[in-house]
Amino acid sequence: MAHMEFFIVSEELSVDQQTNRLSLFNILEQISGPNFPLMLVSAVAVSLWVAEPGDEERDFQCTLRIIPPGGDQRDFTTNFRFRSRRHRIIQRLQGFQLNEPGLLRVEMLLNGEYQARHEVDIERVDPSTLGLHG
Amino acid sequence: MRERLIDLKPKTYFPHESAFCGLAVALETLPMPVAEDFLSELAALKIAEMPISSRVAALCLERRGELLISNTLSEFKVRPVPIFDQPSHEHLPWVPTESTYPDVLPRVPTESTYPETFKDAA
Repeated sequence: MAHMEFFIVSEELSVDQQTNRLSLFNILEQISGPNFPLMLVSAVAVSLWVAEPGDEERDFQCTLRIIPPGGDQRDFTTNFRFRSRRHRIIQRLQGFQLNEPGLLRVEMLLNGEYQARHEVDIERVDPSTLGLHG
Repeated sequence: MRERLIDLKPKTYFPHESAFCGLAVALETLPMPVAEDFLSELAALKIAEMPISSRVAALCLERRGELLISNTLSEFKVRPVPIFDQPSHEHLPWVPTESTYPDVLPRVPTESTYPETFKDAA
């Protein structure tokens, strides 16, 4: 079965039309905010898969599982077939709500089997300690 | 290419076919959409005047599929992102700053400016 080369979550990414090169912007490591719920406006999960012999004929299902702190997990699935030996799956989420601080786990599953995870710390910041107004 | 295609005559072997084959091989590993389009169109071409190039293009496409990375993009709108009808500065935290960058940066005395340099050179 196909195997994963990498999996990472960032705020934004770009695939160059001319060169097909991938660039990631602002890899998500920590998210801080003074008030909850926080709105995660944009997050993009990218995973690179490499086909094994025989995978070209198979259908695959990539599941992005979001487990927010203190909340219910949500799954976002993408189906694909290998058109080449290496295949990128780019899953873009818009408007994900985080209700409380804690650990945000983002997991990647292939055909229901766990493959990798990316963890993001969600933190509450006190505006007064930072000298923030408003 | 357009200039070469002028030489394409019915029932006559196209004299520049080898150039098209060479171009197909050169474009084989370039990920640009234009390369994909060229190879696909050439591979689909079935004319007696160019018997080899379509087969070369088909082989290039096959090899291209093995080498290049393909992409699948999915977008999920979990909930609509709120659009504020008020000016954004009313929502964003305001950070007081005691100094600005030009104040922090050391002032370097300059003895000449670009116009003077150009004047000297002239």
